[in-house]
Amino acid sequence: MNEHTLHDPQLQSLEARLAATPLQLPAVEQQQLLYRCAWEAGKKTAGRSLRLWQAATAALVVLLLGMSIPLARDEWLLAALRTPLPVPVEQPHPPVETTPPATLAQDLVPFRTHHSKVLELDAWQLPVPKHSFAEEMAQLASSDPHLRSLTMGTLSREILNP
Amino acid sequence: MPLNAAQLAKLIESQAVCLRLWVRSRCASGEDVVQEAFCRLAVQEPPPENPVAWLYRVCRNLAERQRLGDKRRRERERATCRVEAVPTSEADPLEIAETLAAVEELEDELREVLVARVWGQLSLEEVARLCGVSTATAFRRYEAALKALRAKLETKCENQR
Repeated sequence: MNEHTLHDPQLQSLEARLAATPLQLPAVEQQQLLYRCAWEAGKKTAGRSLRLWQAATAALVVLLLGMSIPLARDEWLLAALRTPLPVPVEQPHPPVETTPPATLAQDLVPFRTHHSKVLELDAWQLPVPKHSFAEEMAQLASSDPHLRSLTMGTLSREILNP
Repeated sequence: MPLNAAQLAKLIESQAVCLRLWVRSRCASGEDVVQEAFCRLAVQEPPPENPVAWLYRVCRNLAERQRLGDKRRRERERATCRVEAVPTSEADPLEIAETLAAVEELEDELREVLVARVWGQLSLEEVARLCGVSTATAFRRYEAALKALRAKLETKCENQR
């Protein structure tokens, strides 16, 4: 027999009566409590997704920084390589010396020579051989007879019909 | 996955008032404690095996914490705080009010055991564990609570005649 059992019938009756007495909150309070619970549950769910996004954003920021620092360093190196050559600054002439010595002037001011460059506008053409007339005639004489007759014909036409 | 809304609503309907009675002796603002406990239960993942026992334990812990933090407030509000319950269709409102009043007049340790056993429908072992006493002590308190309650209700009935 269970030692923790009520033996008094009156107490048993009271126990049953109490158990049958429902204790409930007013409906409004029940609704408020349920709403509050739902709000908390929603807040927790939203907080979880928010933390997920925050973590993803932080990871991206770290990744971006990790990639941009080496790139920035390379850019600085390139910028240092592209530093312009020093431009000579025109020094104000001293008022006393009107005509400095030629050697000194050459030392101070860099002498720039303007080299004329030959532009070959008709580069596609064959260069004109610069031989003497006798050499050309000798070449003509030693060339192929057929070619020689053609050349002579052409020259005759050019002379007769300029 | 936490408890769904239907389970939560059922627990609120059956246990909210009892939990207020349960923590009444320990803290002044039992409503806040009970609300906090239900909110914690709503987000508890996975849900406890026995939600009722879990609620009683959490309410007691929260009430203890609040009591330690706000002792003066407790004294002030205890005088005015009354647990209210609405009668259901099949219950007599007067009988419920009398029962509640009699339960509130019980000593704290007797009321705790009675509420947890009768309305919380917890076993004596669970009640003993919650109250931090042996099962025999819990049963002794339960029996004493029923006797005291019977005496109070009889006295009230005699006074009403």
